[in-house]
Amino acid sequence: MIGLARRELDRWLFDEYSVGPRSLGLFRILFAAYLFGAQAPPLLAHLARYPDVFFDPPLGFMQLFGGLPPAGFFWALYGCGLLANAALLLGWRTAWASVACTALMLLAFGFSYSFGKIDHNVPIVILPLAMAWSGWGSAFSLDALRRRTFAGPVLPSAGNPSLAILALLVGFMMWTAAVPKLVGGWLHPEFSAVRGYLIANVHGSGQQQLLAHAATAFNSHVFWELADWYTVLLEFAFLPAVLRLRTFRWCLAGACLFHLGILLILNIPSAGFVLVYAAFFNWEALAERFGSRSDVLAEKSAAAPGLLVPVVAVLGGLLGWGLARGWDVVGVALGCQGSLLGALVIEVAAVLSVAAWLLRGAGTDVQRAAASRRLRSSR
Amino acid sequence: MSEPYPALLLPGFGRVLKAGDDSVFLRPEISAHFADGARVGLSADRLVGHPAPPPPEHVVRNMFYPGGVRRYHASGTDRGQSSVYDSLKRLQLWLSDTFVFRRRQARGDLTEDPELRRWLRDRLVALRPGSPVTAFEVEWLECRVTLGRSDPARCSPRERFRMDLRTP
Repeated sequence: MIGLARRELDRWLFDEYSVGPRSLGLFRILFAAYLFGAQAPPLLAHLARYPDVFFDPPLGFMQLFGGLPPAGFFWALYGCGLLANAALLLGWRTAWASVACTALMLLAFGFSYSFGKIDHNVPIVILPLAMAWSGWGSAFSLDALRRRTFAGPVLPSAGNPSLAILALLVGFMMWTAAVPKLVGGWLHPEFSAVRGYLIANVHGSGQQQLLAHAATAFNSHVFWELADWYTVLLEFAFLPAVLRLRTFRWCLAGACLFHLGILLILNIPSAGFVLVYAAFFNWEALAERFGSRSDVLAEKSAAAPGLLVPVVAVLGGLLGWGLARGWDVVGVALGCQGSLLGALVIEVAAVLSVAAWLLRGAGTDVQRAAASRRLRSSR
Repeated sequence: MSEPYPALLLPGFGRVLKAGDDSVFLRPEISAHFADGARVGLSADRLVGHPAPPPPEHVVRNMFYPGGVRRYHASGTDRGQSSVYDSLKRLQLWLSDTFVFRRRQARGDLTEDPELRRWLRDRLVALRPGSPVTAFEVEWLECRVTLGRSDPARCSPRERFRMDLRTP
């Protein structure tokens, strides 16, 4: 019995979530590009101008700081963050770049969240650490090229528990969100929790953008009740769904729609979440097209990674800054917060990608991956 | 409510409402008083002077609600909760009290903090050049909106934070 459980656990940890290295490599590039675009970690030099009494860290390691450091510290933190993102994008010493990304984001966001509000972007922060030894640097990367040239060790392309552990973390997070809703009465047919939050948001916090204001006038009790049930059931479904990649993907697909809904009516952006979800889908088809061009680029640039990483860091920093300003300008023209528009583009793209995945026959890639595993093992 | 950082937790959004119930929330009215008797209102964005992060309205909420805005959320708005949920929130508040608020208490009276007084004067003087700032005030209104009705929010004063800035 114990042997069977152990075999099943091994199968789940090492086989269920195995995704090809090219798919992971492409996802790594997408994720690092997102970090640049989202300015994560952010530049927080302005915090040094605030009085120390504003610094009110929550329970956790930020309590170790006695006050706000000088502006130079925040510039250094930002610079190191850009370098780590660039190394991750290029796949240069990927494992250590991944660890650095998580550590630097944790610290920078820690300062930002010591002023009274914690944004729940932990999935974005922990993802690089969870993926550090997943082999996401073993394709489309300078590391891959170095190994080819110097015949160094090759990371395993399959049989890695990173994605399974990440799935478990996401499932647990969703569960922590579902339990208070259940005991708070969200499933009671007379209550309209989503609607209550919408009204408090529109009138209390002034979040009236996108569809928020229009939604306050929508009086269908059935619709709001369905929104409550959809939220609670989806959040609860994540944890058991972790057992099978295919069912987990269905939850992720449902969550993309859920995140777009809360962006439109509650003005809460969750673009980072949908980026994390992208790790669980198969990017192999796209990797095929991307492959040859990226190899040529990598070979041309592999000679000087020490120069390339800072150059990409500066370009990435400028790109992030330019994107934020660009969204602000568009936002002013459309009467909407720029950051919400940026998130809207990503979340709509996620929903469209999910629709394409469903049309292509959801889950066929899982079956293909299982077939290829069987083929490998028979050889 | 205070929560640990970092934590693998997502917000619960536990409060629920039924048709006819009031959604209750706080709204700050920030103002500066000047020697010539003028009172100038300003937004959280204008006061803090830099967009998010952190969001200016949260800086104001965290700093200028008497006793800390987390206490308001723990005691005032969560009516009609299940006792289990209420107990969880109180436990969280107790943890915060034990580990976090002690730090704030050690700083003493916020209104006497010289760095904060200097910062406020610098921020407010631009609102009315030539007239010295005499006081900074945040009036906290508790507002209600009834679910299922289109009436505007009904607000009444709940707390007031005031700093006399006449002396350095």
